[in-house]
Amino acid sequence: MRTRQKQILAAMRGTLCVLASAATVQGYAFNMIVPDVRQPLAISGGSACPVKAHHPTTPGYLAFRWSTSLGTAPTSILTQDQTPNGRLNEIEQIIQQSLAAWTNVGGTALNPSWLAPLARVATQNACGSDGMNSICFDQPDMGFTPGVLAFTRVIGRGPNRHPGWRRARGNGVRANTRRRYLFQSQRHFRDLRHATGSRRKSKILRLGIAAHA
Amino acid sequence: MTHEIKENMKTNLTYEQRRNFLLIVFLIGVVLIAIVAQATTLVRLTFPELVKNSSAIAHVRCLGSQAVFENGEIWTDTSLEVLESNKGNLPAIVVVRQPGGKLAHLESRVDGTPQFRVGEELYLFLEGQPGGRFFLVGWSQGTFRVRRNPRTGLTTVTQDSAEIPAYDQQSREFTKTGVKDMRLDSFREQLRREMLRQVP
Repeated sequence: MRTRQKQILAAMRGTLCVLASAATVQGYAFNMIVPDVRQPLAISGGSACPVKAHHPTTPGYLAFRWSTSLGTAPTSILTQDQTPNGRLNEIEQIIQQSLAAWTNVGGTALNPSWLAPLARVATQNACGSDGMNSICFDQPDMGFTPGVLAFTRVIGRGPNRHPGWRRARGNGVRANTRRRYLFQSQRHFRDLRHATGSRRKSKILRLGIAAHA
Repeated sequence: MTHEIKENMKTNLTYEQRRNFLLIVFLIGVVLIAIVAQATTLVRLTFPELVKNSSAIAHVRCLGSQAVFENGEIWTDTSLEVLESNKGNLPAIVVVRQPGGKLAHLESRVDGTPQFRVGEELYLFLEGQPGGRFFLVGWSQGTFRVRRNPRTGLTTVTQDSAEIPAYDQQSREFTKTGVKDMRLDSFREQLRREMLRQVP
C-alpha cells in the first residue's frame, strides 16, 4: 500500500508541475515593472532594469486628469447644471465620488489622501500611452466595443530580447526564460459608472494605479 | 476504493507525508487561482443585445493574422473570408482588429481577446464600417466557433464567452452564460428570428 501512496503523491506532484508550467506562461511578475524605455526620460527614468512597482507613500502622490473632450460619435452626458462651467464641475464631482468609492473598498491599499487634486485637460485622445493616469469618456479607442468595460494591456518581452534587457542583465538582473517580465501595464476603463459595488473592478483599478504611478 | 485509500492514508502516512500532501493540495489551489485570474471585465450582452449592437454579422473563415503598431499600441489584424453575410453589407474579405499581439521583440497581452486559427470557421458579431476595419462586439461574446464532429457529422456552434464569467448588471455578479454546442441550423434559426424581430 505504501507503493500506492507513493504513486498517488507522485501523480499529484506531476499534476502540479503541469499546472505550474501553465501558470508561468501567463508571465506576470507581480509588483515588478520594467519602464518603457521608448517613453521620454522623465517618464521612463532612463533605465530598463526591472524595479518594484511604485507604491504611493506621500499625500497627493497619484495624479489624475480627465479629458473634457468627448469622442466624435454622438454622445450625451446628462447633467442637472446646464451652465458651461457647472456641467464640467458636476461631471468632475462624479469622477471624484467614483474615485472615493475605490479608496473605501475593503482590502485596497489605496488611501484617499494619496490622490492629487483632479486636473482637467481639453485634449482629445488623452488616454494614450503617455504615462499619465487619464480618465476619458467615449474616446475613440479602438479597443472598446459594446460589452467591454475594462481591460489591461501587459506589454512584455517577446521571443527576442529587448535591447534594454542586455543592459538590465549587466546590472545584475538574471534572465528568466520562463517568465516574461512586465514592461508596462495599462489599465483601460470604459467609464466609472459601475464603480461601486464591484470588488473585482476595484482590484483592477488598484493594480492599475500601482503600475502607472 | 476511495474509502480504502483514505483509510490507509489516515493510518499509514507519516507526519511528513501528510504535511507534503497538504502542501501539494495548497499549491494546486494557488496555481488554479492564478490560472483563472483575468484582467478584462466584460459586461454581459444577451443574444438580442449582441445582434442589436452589431453593424455586421457573418459566417467567416480565418485566413491569417498580422500584428501592427499604431497609435503607440500593438494590434492584431485578422483577415477573414466572408462565407455568408447575415447582417450588413460586407466585402469578400474583412479585417477584424483586436488589441494586443506579438510584434518583433514585444508582446502585448490582453486577456479575453479571442485567438483565431487559420482555416477555422466562425460566426462573428462585428462593429465597423465597410471599407474600414471591424471590431468584435463584446470580444469573446461576439465570437461563435463552428465545429464539426467527424464521428457524428454534427456541426455545432459554441460562444467563446460560454466559459468566461461576465459581469451581469442586474444581479451585480459574474456569471457564465451563452451558447454552447448548439446545432448550427438551430443557431442560424435563432439568429434569423432575432434579426427579424429587430427589424423596425
